[in-house]
Amino acid sequence: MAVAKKSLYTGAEITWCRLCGNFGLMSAFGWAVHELAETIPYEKFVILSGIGCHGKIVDYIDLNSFYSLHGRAVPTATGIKLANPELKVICFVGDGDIYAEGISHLVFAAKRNTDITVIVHNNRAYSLTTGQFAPTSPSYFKGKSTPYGSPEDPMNPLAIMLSSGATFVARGYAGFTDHLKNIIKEAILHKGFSFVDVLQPCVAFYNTYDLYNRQTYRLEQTDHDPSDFEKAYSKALEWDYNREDVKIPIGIFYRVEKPTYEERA
Amino acid sequence: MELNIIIGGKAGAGIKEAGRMFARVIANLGYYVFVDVDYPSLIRGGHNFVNIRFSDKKIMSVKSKADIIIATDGRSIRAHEKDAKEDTVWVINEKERREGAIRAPFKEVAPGFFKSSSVLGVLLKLLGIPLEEGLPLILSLPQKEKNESIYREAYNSVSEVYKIRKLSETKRELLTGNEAIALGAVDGGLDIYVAYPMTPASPVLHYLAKNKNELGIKVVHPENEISVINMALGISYAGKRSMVGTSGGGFALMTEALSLSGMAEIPLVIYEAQRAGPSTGVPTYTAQSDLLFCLFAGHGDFPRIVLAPGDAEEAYFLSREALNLAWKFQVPVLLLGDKTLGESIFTAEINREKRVEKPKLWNGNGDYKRYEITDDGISPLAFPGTENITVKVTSYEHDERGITVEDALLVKKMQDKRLKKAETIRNYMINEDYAIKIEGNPQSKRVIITWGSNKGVVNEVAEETGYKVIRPLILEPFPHERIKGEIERAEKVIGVECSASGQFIRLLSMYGIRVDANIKKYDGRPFYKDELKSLIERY
Repeated sequence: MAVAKKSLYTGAEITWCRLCGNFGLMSAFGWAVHELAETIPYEKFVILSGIGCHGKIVDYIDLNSFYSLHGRAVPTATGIKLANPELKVICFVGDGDIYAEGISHLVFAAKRNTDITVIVHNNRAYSLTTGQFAPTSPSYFKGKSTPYGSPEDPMNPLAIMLSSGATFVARGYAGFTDHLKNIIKEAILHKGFSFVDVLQPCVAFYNTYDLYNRQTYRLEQTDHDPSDFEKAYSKALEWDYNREDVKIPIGIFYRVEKPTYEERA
Repeated sequence: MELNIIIGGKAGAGIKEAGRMFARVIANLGYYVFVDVDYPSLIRGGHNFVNIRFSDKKIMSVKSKADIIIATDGRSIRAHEKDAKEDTVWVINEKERREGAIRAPFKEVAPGFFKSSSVLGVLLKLLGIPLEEGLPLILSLPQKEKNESIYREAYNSVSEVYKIRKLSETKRELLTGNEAIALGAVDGGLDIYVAYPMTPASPVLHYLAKNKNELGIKVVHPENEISVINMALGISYAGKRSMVGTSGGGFALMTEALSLSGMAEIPLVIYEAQRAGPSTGVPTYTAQSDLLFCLFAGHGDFPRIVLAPGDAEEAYFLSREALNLAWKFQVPVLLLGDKTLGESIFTAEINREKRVEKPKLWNGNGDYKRYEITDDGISPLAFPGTENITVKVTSYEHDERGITVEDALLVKKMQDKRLKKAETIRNYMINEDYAIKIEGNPQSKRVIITWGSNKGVVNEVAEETGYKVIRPLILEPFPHERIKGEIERAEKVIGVECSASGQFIRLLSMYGIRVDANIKKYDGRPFYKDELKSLIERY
């Protein structure tokens, strides 16, 4: 039986730039929710966000939401899931938001295998604060706080998540909405902590459409086995978030089922 | 009839355990007892002591001078010379020497471990309490045969000095302030307790974690205090009652999310157990120097409630009340305690009773607006998972639905809504019976004004010196009109507080309440009765 589609749009004025990667991500998510709504009622979804351009998504999508603090969506989500395990709890977070301000929470949510989904709007720059370098910016990125380039190399969030115990680790690209929709669906359906790093071009401060269109390839079109941790880890290391001349795998890197925090606590 | 006893020894030697067991025995005989636990921030070595006072009258303080000093090692003898009177009875380890001291075998079950059994044996015999009164406690310890033989040997090694008789067949209940806070929260409907370890709040975490199954709650220890408070806000948003516990440094980390609780109007209870600061300070010692911090912490304007219990009974009551108030008004409620309140052992009479008030809930009609403008500023609650509605909360300024706004009119409208709520809270709180307590000699024109864990010592001194005591239990919204009414005809007003800069007196002055003198203690130790009495008598 088909479930009547609910309008997922609140009517709030959308203030993202024209062609912002956030649009692709929001479409992919909305599409995923409509497909999941066949089995999961709309009211069971709770979405959260941190602070940054990404965060506006909770104002636009008409689902239960918690517009949290910079870097803090993940512990808040953990609390929601603990209080009501029937809810499907999804965090939208930014790269500066969760890889800098909130990295401890991200690592610990993976360690706990708490049954929530974290979707990172990874534009590899601080955009709402008008263009500073971020934890995953390449070292040649000239931001307002690093006008001569960054003296640091980027971190690799997939490797961090795998080492921390995440049971679902994926990377998507906001430019490939259908592919991203499938990853998000799988992540939400995954029992345990699911993590999706979404490559998201920022047209204002770091336009990476050409780079990702050219360099990405899909893991499911290879013989990649997502149940193999070692293979997942070596796939995660293929691209270091710094180089532009290597291929960038997208898709589900790792998926394994383990008891969740809510089951064990 | 009353006695003050100091038991000293190395950290890890079971000194606290000996104090706890003795308190149990003496409370079983019908006496009132108060135990102050003085210990350094380390696991082994150093010097620990418990200061125990018991009486046939209700007491809640200790004295600096002891009637009996039990020094289980050489360092304790030196450390407590200053606490001795001419007629103090000294009991020291048989390997040590001190003129006039009784020597006793303070043996350990294993080298470097607890001496509590031998201390209890010596103390009970000294006081002429039958050996059988302590036996059940000894037999509940691990390695009970070994402990029993040490206990008996110690008991028989000394002679009676006092004859403490059974006062009544009623055994008095013993409770630490922290246990009272834990139980109060549970009876106020607590569902999930979230905390990161920090002295002196950790015993609440330990107690609830150990008893969570019987109490029917969940307990979480996350990665840091920032996670703690954000997790708690998530729990409350989803409709379950949460509480967090910490001390000053941990609370400092929580302040960003405290402000979120104010903006998003999410109920939350924070237990802040003060210790001597600033910074890491003196972690295992007491202070009342987070008062102004707790009253003003958090950026932006938002209403809050701050409650300050003075003993275990009030800790139970206010902890339960805190849970209900947080949900009634959808605000953060701070329960402000300290090390003296939290870790001291009180004889307390608590009649446990679950009291979970129903908050203002959405009636299910029409569209749901989380921040609906209402006459009293309080919007009806609904929780995620409710069919056909969305529940949107946010850290941004927002409209009634919970969508971000920046428009001048809407921004002011929501600020006004929260101001209206603050007014509702104020009108409710200042009329509560417990907003201020009048104790001591209520007719007196000489007044002591104090707060928090000074209750016991101030009331005892006031009764003996004929002072009236005014003590607010609600610190925000501050019941200043009622305090002014109580000191209208006073000839002399003296403040008593444990803060170097006199934070409480500064709070009073904000509301135009002046004192003639302020007695401050800020060495990490609570006021001792004899000490406070002599200070009061100077005025």
